[in-house]
Amino acid sequence: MKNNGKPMVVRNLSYRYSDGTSALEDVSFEVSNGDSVALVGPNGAGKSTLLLHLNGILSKQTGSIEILGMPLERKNVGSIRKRVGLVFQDPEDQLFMSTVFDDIAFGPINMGLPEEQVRERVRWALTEVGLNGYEDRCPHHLSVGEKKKVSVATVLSMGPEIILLDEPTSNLDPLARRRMIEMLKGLRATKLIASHNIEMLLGICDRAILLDNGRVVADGKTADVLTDPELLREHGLEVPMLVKLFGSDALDVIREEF
Amino acid sequence: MSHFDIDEYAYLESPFHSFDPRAKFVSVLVLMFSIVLLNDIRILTAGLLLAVALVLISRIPLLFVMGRLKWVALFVLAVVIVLPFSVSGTALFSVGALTFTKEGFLQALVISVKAFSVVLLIFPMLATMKFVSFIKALEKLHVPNRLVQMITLTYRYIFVLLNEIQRTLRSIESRGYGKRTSILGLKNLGTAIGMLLVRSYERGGRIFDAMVSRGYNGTMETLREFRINSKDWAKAASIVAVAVLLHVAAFTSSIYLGAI
Ligand SMILES: Nc1ncnc2c1ncn2[C@@H]1O[C@H](COP(=O)(O)OP(=O)(O)O)[C@@H](O)[C@H]1O
Ligand SMILES: [Mg+2]
Repeated sequence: MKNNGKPMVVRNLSYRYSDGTSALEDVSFEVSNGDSVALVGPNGAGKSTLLLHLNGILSKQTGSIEILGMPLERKNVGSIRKRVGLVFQDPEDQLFMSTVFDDIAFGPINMGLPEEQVRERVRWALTEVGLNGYEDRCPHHLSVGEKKKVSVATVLSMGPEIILLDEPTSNLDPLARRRMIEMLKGLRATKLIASHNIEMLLGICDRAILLDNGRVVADGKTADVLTDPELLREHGLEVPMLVKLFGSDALDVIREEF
Repeated sequence: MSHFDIDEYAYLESPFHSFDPRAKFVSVLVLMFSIVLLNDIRILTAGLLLAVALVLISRIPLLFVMGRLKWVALFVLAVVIVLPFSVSGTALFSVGALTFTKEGFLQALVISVKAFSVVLLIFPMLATMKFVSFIKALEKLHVPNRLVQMITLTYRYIFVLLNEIQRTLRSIESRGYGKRTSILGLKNLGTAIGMLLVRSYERGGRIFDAMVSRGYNGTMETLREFRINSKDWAKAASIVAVAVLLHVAAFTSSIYLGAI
């Protein structure tokens, strides 16, 4: 398989859970280096299932996945996980250590980095998410917004080339959401962001893949896919007010606002 | 939601708070064992007084200590009521068919004093540091990593679980499961508990995924060096010395005064 230097190539991926639920059907797409790609779709569309495939948590049943030039197979999965960070939807799942520091250091320590570098990376990741000074806090005493940011930091500290984010703004109040969006926009890695918050995706992503019932139903520029009220409605997604008002010009308005 | 953090007072300042977690844990543990192994009620009383003194030195608010001690008291009360009547020996008095014996009473006393002493010692030992420091102390003392992981995850998720229990209970209540018990109500409660178990199981799976995706390979390591200094050694040595002294005292008194 030729990947033309694309960091992520997925071909004909299908997945069925053990209870028979078909979660992905014949999914194919590519992502270019440095892209920010929106993964949109209603609840149950298969977004999380797809993300779990991309760093090898779920193993593919049919099809092929190539990440950073390596086919996703058992022998590569360790090195792929070091370079592909996955931020889970629920920060309670993501944060399992007893302090913020330990949680962010968990990945780098497992990568076998020397102590000084681990500390350096924790400092850097906390600065990136704007939470300096939170090192000794316990996760169970943080607000949801803070937990979500720390979750992102736990993945940033591993220095991934690709970051997968599962619903990074769900359960956030407007201010926390705004801050999260600002932060995500600043991240340099190749990003794949699963969400049904169209406005956020319009603000961050250049490209959108629309998933419904495990199938890719649209794949193109966010400006085309996410400002098409017909398409959005047809697949159970909310049409943002801005799109209702401005149609495809909504993008300019949102870009200005964020 | 109410927290029952054992480390609520970890930020205070006292000789115990500044004590190196490893040295503190090991030396107080030695003292606990020493007390548990004593049988002489007079020496045990000294041990209890010592435990009280250490709690005072640790500056943990007495109200906090009393609050937790309630439960121990309940257990001790049961022992004190039952034992004197169930151990045979010299009768002091009898109630109906039950005889209150001197031996039984003494045994009850010994057990209660031991229980109170050990539980009291938990405060200067564990309540004077962040729970995290305790976990790290275990790690640095080479306690098996699996055990350390279990304690870490339990500590982290006990709050999440409590939250989930609370949510479940609230949703049951809001759907009318109240004071009146009925078969249907019990069935609902059963279902809710089942749901809770399923949810916990699923969460466990997701946490494991999150760990694996960040390179988890069976061991959980953290950074944090403790620096043990001469003061820590001195404190630890004194506590261990007292632990030994209690036994020396018990031994001598058994020779000169005869064991009770
Ligand atoms: N562990 C699981 N076992 C069985 N079915 C599942 C499991 N996880 C998800 N599914 C099902 O797979 C489909 C896709 O789910 P998911 O990937 O979570 O969607 P999304 O993240 O887009 O909401 C849904 O129909 C869902 O019910
Ligand atoms: Mg999902």
